[in-house]
Amino acid sequence: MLLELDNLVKRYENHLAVDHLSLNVREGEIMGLLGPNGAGKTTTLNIITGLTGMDHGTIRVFGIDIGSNGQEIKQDIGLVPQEIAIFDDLTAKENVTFFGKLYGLRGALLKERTREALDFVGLGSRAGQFPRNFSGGMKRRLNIACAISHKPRLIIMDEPTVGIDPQSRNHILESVRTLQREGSTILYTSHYMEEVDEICTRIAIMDQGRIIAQGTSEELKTMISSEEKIEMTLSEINYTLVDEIKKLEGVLECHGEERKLTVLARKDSGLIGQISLIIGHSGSEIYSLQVDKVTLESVFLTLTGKSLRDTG
Amino acid sequence: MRLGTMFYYTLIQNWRDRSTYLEMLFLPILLIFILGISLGNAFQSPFISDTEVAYFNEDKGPIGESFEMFMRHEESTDLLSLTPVISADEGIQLVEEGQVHAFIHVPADLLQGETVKLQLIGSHQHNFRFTIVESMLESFVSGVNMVLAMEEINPDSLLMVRENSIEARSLQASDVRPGAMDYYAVTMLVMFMMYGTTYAVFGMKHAYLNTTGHRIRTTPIRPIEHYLGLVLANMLTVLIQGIILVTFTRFVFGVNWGNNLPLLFLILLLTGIMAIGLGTAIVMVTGNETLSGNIVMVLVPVMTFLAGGFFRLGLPDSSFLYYLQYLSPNYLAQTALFNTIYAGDFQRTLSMMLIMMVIILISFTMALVSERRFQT
Ligand SMILES: Nc1ncnc2c1ncn2[C@@H]1O[C@H](COP(=O)(O)OP(=O)(O)OP(=O)(O)O)[C@@H](O)[C@H]1O
Ligand SMILES: [Mg+2]
Repeated sequence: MLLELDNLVKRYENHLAVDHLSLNVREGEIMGLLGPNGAGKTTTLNIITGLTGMDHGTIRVFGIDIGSNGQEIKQDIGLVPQEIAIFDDLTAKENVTFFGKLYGLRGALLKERTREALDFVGLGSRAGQFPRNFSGGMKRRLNIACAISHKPRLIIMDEPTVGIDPQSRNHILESVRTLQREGSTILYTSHYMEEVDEICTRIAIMDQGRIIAQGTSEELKTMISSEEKIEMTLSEINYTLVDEIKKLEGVLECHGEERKLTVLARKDSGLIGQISLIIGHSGSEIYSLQVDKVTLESVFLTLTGKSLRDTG
Repeated sequence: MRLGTMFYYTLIQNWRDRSTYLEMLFLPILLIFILGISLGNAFQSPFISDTEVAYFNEDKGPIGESFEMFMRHEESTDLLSLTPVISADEGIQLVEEGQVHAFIHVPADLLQGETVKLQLIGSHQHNFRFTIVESMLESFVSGVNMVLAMEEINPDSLLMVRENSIEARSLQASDVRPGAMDYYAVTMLVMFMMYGTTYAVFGMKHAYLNTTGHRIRTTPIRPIEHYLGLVLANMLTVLIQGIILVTFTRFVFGVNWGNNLPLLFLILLLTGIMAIGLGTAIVMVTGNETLSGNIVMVLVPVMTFLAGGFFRLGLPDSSFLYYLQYLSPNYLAQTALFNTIYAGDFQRTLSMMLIMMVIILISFTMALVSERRFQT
């Protein structure tokens, strides 16, 4: 295991920000930590990087307890903080160089890695410019560049795409995949379920300081859903048609309204073919067909009883 | 190494924050110029002549004798013009009428009672001349004290030593021609170095307490390197500012900064460290950048005022406010500087520097202790 969190507890006055949280991250993963505002994501990351003390629990990074050898562990972690943490009075290049030096890079290697990091986030042509004139997305990307020039084994990203344009977001998501391919392990927090779903190899869903479910995107989706909803628009609907579909093995419910037919069926029962056959026999035609996929959004909704978006 | 990185990148940021840096250089130069010119008449025109001092010497013993000797020596260096008077009332009247700049009363039996004291009465319109006479008198007193101390050991040496020890401690007449410009150059220099606290406030807030500071803490840099790198860079920023001000006013305005450059530099260094120490303590204790900024903006002018930086307050000795001056870092720095530039009492310079070091020690301790609060 690259990162092992065991039973972390962090209390602020009488509020439990992190509530007996355990999580393991394997080498080479992109682990997504998905949760609404206030779930305790940043607090958890701060505990890992040593910025915040914990009330209880143990953390092992690269197999070493973080209490025992802080400096050595820090050397191999890159943190992309939630809030942009760069210097406006240093150029993009100087910002990356500064952090590179703090991580121990020197000389020619420092130069090379700095350039690489800037190119990597697409700021190569703006190396000499001051970030105060950058757009939000460019600042976010510089924020990332400062964390990766030393090629850390573990990269921790705290909502790196918050509040930016789609282009920068895509660029960042693509970069995260590339970093993983190049050998880094990534712990990625977000409250956008689409992007977690898109890039993460595994996902932990967090709410009120606890991890309420974890697994791959598919595992999470199957966990809550055993059925799927098929919606069709037909040229005409009659009662015999509805009755015949209801008789099919695996169909839980079927009802028609005007020209709309809704079928609720057990998941992966492969019924669409049989249903369309029956419709064909009845002399009706299918104008449109839609199978409702289960999303992480609905997983979250089912598990917590609230929507990710409402809380954000 | 990491300390160096922290230091270097903080320094170039301070340097690049040009508007602040230029303000810190331009404003004091402007103020020195304006105050120096507009108050120059009050300071300068009578200064072409000697400082007029009336004195009434009632002591017929060795003290009175050596006082006469001392004053005559000062007169011979073209600094003073002496007028003996026959009563204290007459002397005070001369001061009130503006005929003399100061009046010195040497009572009889100075050595006898605790309550018998040398008296110096001056007029507020002539702060500078008053300062000169005051420091001269201080030199005289410390000379006498030294003689007395020796007398305890060997009474015979009294007469022989007396003249030498006094002369050695007297002001160097050729240098002492301070005008308004010279005065304000010192007080404004100190005031703007004290404004250097803002570097500490904003610098520490951003690169230590805020997100960027947090981020730096997640790197392998040791906390002490992080802290020292910032503090040293801010210190150097303020020190360079002080040196530029001294150089500029010396060569453009012809301000007198004395001959003891190493000591001058040392006092500037202490002033810079003190400013950064206070700023760091304020921001660490309050943990609030805006509040700290406001505190500094109020505190610095008040401390300058209290130290007579805008005009000499002429506070009566042993009054509450007089002692309060010692709490004003500006007062300490100014007094040390004046005594250095005008070759005044070195002991006094030294004691001011010592108090400054105590303030530095206290403020950095406070900063370090409060800093722990932020380690959640
Ligand atoms: N220093 C602190 N003092 C008191 N409470 C805190 C502190 N830091 C965080 N909290 C509380 O702990 C809880 C978790 O906060 P945290 O910042 O970890 O959430 P998050 O999941 O990162 O949220 P977001 O998506 O908004 O970044 C919140 O209720 C927050 O108010
Ligand atoms: Mg957060």
